[in-house]
Amino acid sequence: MESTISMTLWDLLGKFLLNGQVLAVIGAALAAILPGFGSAKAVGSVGEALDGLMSEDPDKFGKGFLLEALPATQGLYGVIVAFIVITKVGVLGGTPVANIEQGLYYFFACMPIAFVGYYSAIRQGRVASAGVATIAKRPDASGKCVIATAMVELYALFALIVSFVFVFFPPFGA
Amino acid sequence: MSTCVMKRLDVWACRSDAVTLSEKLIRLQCVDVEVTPLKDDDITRFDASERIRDCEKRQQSVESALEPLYRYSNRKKKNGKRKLQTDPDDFVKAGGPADAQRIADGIISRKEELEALEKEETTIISFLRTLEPWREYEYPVDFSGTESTKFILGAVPVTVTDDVLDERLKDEAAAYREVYSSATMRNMVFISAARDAPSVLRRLNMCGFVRADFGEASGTAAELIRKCSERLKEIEKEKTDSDSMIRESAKNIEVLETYWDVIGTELAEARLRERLAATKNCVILRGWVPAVREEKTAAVLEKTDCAYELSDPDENDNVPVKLENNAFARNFEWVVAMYSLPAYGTYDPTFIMGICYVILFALMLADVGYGLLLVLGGFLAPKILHLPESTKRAFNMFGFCGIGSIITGVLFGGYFGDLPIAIMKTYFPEVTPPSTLALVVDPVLDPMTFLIIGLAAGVIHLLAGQAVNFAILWREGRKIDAVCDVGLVWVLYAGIALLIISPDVGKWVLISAVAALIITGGRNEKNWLKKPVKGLLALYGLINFGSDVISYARILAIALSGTVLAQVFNILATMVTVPVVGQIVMIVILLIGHVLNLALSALSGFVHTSRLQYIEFFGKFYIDGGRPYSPMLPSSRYTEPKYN
Repeated sequence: MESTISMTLWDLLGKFLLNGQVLAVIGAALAAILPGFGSAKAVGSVGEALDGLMSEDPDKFGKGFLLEALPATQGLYGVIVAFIVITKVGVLGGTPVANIEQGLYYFFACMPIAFVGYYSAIRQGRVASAGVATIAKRPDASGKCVIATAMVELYALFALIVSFVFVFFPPFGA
Repeated sequence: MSTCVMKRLDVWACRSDAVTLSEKLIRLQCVDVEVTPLKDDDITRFDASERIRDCEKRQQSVESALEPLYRYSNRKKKNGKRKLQTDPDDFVKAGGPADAQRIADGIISRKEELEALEKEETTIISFLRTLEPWREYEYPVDFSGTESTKFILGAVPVTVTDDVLDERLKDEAAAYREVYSSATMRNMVFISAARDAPSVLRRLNMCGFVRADFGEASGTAAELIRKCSERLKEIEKEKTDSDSMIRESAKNIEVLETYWDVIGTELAEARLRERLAATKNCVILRGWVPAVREEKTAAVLEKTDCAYELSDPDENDNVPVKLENNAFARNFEWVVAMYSLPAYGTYDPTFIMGICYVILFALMLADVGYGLLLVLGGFLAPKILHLPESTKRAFNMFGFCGIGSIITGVLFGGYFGDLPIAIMKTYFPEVTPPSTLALVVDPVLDPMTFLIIGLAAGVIHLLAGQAVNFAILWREGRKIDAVCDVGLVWVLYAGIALLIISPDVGKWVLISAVAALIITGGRNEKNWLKKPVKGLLALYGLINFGSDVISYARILAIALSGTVLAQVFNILATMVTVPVVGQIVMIVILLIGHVLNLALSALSGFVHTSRLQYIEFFGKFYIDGGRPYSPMLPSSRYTEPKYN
């Protein structure tokens, strides 16, 4: 009796969760979700710092806004990778994923931008928030704050390259 | 190109001439005045604080007078219009300051009147709200009773019914009447024997009684309401009067603005004097003038009662740095200044950096459409909006970058992403569109080739940095350093390159370069044991170079993200194919999407190109730490002063 139920569950898993198409979609979803989370959190916290600055000196909005926009890009990178997967796996063009191996391929191809995007967005947000605090005292240093914030971005960019090349040029042709 | 040559200006003048001196120096518009050091106990700082306070006070009053005027004037505040050109001397001669101060004072007193009226209005309205329930009450509200009775006016909650009141007051000699009842409160008048009044009040208070408060008012409620309404009407009229007087003054905006700047210039003069050192009878000034303005400065000082000396700076001076570049490179100076100005007398890399900047930016944002928008915005916006010079330069810089983007856009096939292809696919399905519009390589279809192009641009950029370093060393006469530290490294790179083309030659070039580097690397090291270590360290520069080159991979990533995002918007925009609706949706999505993408791509391009300049390029040669040259200028917030 017991074994019949577990067999059925296993079958269900195999049929609906562990097939290639679903794995590819989970990968794409994570590529959109995680960096989006990170960017939202980072942009949000920089925005809070910026609002605090606004209460003192609304004229500095332009300078602070640049800093707020910087950690928004990771979310975009994630969406770009997710979108390419969408155009490859038969949703907006391309062909559905044939087997579990191909699904896993897409899944792992999405991981660099998913994880690095998430983490770098949050860390970049912290640098940007500190930059907003600096602008409050020394508005002339805003350019340097922007550059310091941009330093974190490099790793997200590298992850984007890796994920992009993987999903755009799958070795099995799609 | 080196930074602008400066001359040191020392002036000694009588204390009584300090005001004239400061006025003339401000009008010269080219003297950077140092805070003169106090070397002796007898020397003090010149005190202009009273003057500064006076100016600031007047300036504040003008500002507060200007503020309501902008509400009535259809003119924008300070941006978006050409500045009025005025001669402050004419303004002062014509009695402008006194007139302007009178106008400002007039407006301020009107403003205060308005505020007082508004305050009175609020008080009356809230008093009316108190009076309204008592309108039907026939006795004056201040009538508190006869000799033996006491009238108590107030409200109880509606839950306190007549039965409750009867029960409460059954032991007291009291009567009551309801005047008005609202949804929550009953307004009542209680009449009690004078001696019982305190205990009646106490009993009432226990059931939530609130005594009515009419302040000093006297008369019946109806009368009071009528009076208040009349006063409200009067206030309304007085407010309109004051308002229209302020509106009338709106024509004087320019007088007030000119006055603000005249005070501003006085303030600048006073601040200049605060930088002077002074003895009992004498003031001392130390300033800096660009060498090209030397003669003009001398001519002005010649006509002033003072002694002066213009001389070359010596080693201990903290000379301010001014960059001087041609019409193209000038727009990139602010990018250099954002990092740090070059130290005085060192090489000013703005021109070379400007060219590299456009190339790198254009590789990151390779799109004809976006390039065109940048060109339009960068060159036209400052003209239309009459932006100040510094902002204009920043805009122009993006304009030049836009020109680069148009060229790279043609090479790498970006026209708002792949908009032409997307439109062809949707509206002309019978035509097979080309897979790419690129002449050289499409970064999306062949990222490897584009990556190599990006890295190659990086190598050229880094070599340019090293070449600048070579030139600086050579010109300084450190020719051996130039050859050993830069030249040998180049031989090394050449060896690596040859290794790929013809291994036999390359091998020997490489080996000899490595050997030469190890031998010469420690040439300045006295300790013989440390010499080879230093030599090996010189080889480490090679690894640095490698990691620097990898840093240019960001060019590919940013180009990819910009292009793919543009394609995403194009796909979304061409999804709805229903006639008319489809086109409207397409235009809306394209507008929003591409504006957003342009903004983000330009931001990324700006930030990452700057970073590549600062770390990879400047790291090879730059000597930073220059103090920016900031001459003392007349105030020009609203007007452009033109002195005869």
